[in-house]
Amino acid sequence: MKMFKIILAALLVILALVITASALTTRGTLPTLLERMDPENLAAQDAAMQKAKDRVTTALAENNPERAQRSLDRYINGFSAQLTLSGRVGYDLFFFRNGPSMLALALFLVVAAAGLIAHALDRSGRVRKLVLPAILITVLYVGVYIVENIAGANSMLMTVLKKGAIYALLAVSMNLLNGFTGLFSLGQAGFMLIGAYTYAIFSIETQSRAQVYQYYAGGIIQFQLPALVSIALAGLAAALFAFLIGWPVLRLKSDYLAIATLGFAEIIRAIFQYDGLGPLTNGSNLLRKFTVFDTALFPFAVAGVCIALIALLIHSTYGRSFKAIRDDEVAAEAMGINLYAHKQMAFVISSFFAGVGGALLAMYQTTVQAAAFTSAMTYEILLIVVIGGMGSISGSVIASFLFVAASEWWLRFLDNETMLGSFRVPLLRSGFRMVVFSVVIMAVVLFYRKGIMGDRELSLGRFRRRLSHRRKGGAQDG
Amino acid sequence: MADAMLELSHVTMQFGGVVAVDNLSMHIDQDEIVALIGPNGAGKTTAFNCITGVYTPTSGQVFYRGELIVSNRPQGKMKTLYAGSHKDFPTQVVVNTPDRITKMGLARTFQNIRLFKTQTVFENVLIATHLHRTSNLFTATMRLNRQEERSFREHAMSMLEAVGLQDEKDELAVSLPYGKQRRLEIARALATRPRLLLLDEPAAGMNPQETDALGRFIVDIRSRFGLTVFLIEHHMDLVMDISDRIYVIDFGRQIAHGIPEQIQDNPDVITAYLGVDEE
Repeated sequence: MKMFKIILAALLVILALVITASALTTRGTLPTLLERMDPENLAAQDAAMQKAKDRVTTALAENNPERAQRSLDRYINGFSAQLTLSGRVGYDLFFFRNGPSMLALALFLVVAAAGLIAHALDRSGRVRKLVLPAILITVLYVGVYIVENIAGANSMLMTVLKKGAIYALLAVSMNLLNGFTGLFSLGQAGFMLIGAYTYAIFSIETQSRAQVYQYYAGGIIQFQLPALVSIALAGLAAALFAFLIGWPVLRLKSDYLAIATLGFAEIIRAIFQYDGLGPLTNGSNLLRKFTVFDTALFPFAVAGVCIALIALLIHSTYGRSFKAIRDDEVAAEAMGINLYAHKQMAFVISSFFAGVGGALLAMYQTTVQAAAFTSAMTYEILLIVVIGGMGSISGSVIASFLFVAASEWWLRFLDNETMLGSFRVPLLRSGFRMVVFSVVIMAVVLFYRKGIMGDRELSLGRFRRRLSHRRKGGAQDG
Repeated sequence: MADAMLELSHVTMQFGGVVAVDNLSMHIDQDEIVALIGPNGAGKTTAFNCITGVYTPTSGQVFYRGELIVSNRPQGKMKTLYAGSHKDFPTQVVVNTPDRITKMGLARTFQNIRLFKTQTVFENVLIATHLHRTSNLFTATMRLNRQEERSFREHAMSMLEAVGLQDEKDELAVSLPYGKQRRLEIARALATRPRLLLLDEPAAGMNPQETDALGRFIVDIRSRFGLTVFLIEHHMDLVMDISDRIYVIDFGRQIAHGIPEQIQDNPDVITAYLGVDEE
């Protein structure tokens, strides 16, 4: 079994090497490829083949079986040579067009091989546990990269994936507060706005600032920070605001907290459009010309790291105390958990990631305007959290991709007037999509009271246990 | 004499015009099991809440091992509203939140069980180790505290073993039968490593056999963990059985104090429980 795994790993590595070599060698071969695909060359080959075929026909007509056989052999040889040639051109062309994707695929194969070897050699089982997650993560990122290269960066699929990844981060950050700590806050859009604006303000190209801030004499900030630094600042700015308003607001309970945070989000939206802050926020005008991402891997990477951090936090001793506060504040306090400090912690951290999500959203939209960060945006994310399951990270992630795909893509056809022959399909018109969408959501909430995942997580361990359980059960039956 | 484990000095708790606890003074020495009894609505749980920081008493002081942990005097409109019998107010104001008092070494259970409902038996106890953390948010998130995490888990597990719930550790806390939920609450309180354990009606809803076992269990953990126990209880058999001393309160006031035998024969106590025969 161990040998088998190592041999399989070796084969995977060889395959990866072949793919890498093919992808790299075809990169600089455009002239050769063009020559091989030259219509003139192809015409000459076609003419030669036609001649060979004619020879066979003549031989058959002359009733000369010996010559016919010889001509036929030559014809077939020539034909298969041409097939091989076009096959190789096709192969090279494929690698020429999909070089980056194929390199990514090779990377995946190497990771898989490394996983297999680790699985075969590791005795303690510590590395073993990491193999499958590592492979799945590589599959995810390699998959996104390949899909982006094949489907095109502006395809609907990529739009959904990019927005889905950003919404996943926003939903998980909201879940940390509402689902795990039990604080019903509706300030998400406000913190996203702070994040989006902070990011945009610091990453607008210096030479474009005069144009962007045309009504405010070019604005007051005249430098540009790198994207990742601006994203970190976006998170910190949102966290700072959360820290400041947390002091009065977190003393409120349930509905009152919701109302206070909702009010905060509305106030922030108004303040950012205030003309007096124009040199910083550009008043009610758009912010644009800031750094945006050119590949879906960027939001996937940032959101992935952030969600992983939140997951680690939730499974730490601090996360456990958050859940205790959610379940019973009085008991949590009697167990020595400082309620205010822990609530503040959850609030600030959740807002930090909401700010980062806001920055990513700004990059995705390429422009930012405060007026867009309405409470409807908070409700959208709250909806994702509820559908995914309060207190489930994987639920939030799954729900955000489903939500974005359904609202942006799958139900899109409902907005178009459609004719089936001469029959005009009733009800289909602009806006009908949202009607159906609402009904779907109501149905989901009715049939999955606790959301898709409840408060459980998608776990490989449980999946594996269930599989082995079934296998064991089957063995007993047999 | 060494400082008492817990000492209450003229504690009065008044809600609006209602004096729930009136001029309650008591002391509990190291290693004692002391019971607080009284008819329904006598103010027993309110007294507990004043000690553990859930309420700040209107007036009076609480000392824990000689340290002043709670102290208050009537303030604001309470100055005019005050109806307690003790008028000599302390000058200091000391307010501690329940979590700080638990950190000092007082742990409690609740009359109406308060377990963390969505979590397993083991997780319920594990949470109570949080107050002993030395890791901060960063080290805990980045898993740089493996050593500490392991010791937390071992400690929580040993507490479960102490109350005999190790086999149910992965079950949801709420799925346990009533008696085991009570034991789990005690395990959770023990996991905070207290010196003084306050039990609020630990035998409520238990049958005589269970109550009997609980009594032995309380005596057992006292010696095993070097605890001092202060309990509120209605089961007189249990109280008389295990208590070293008993305080009796009625309408917030102390009406008797002494060893079980003295309390049993005290006419005031009998009157409080059975009522006065009206002629």
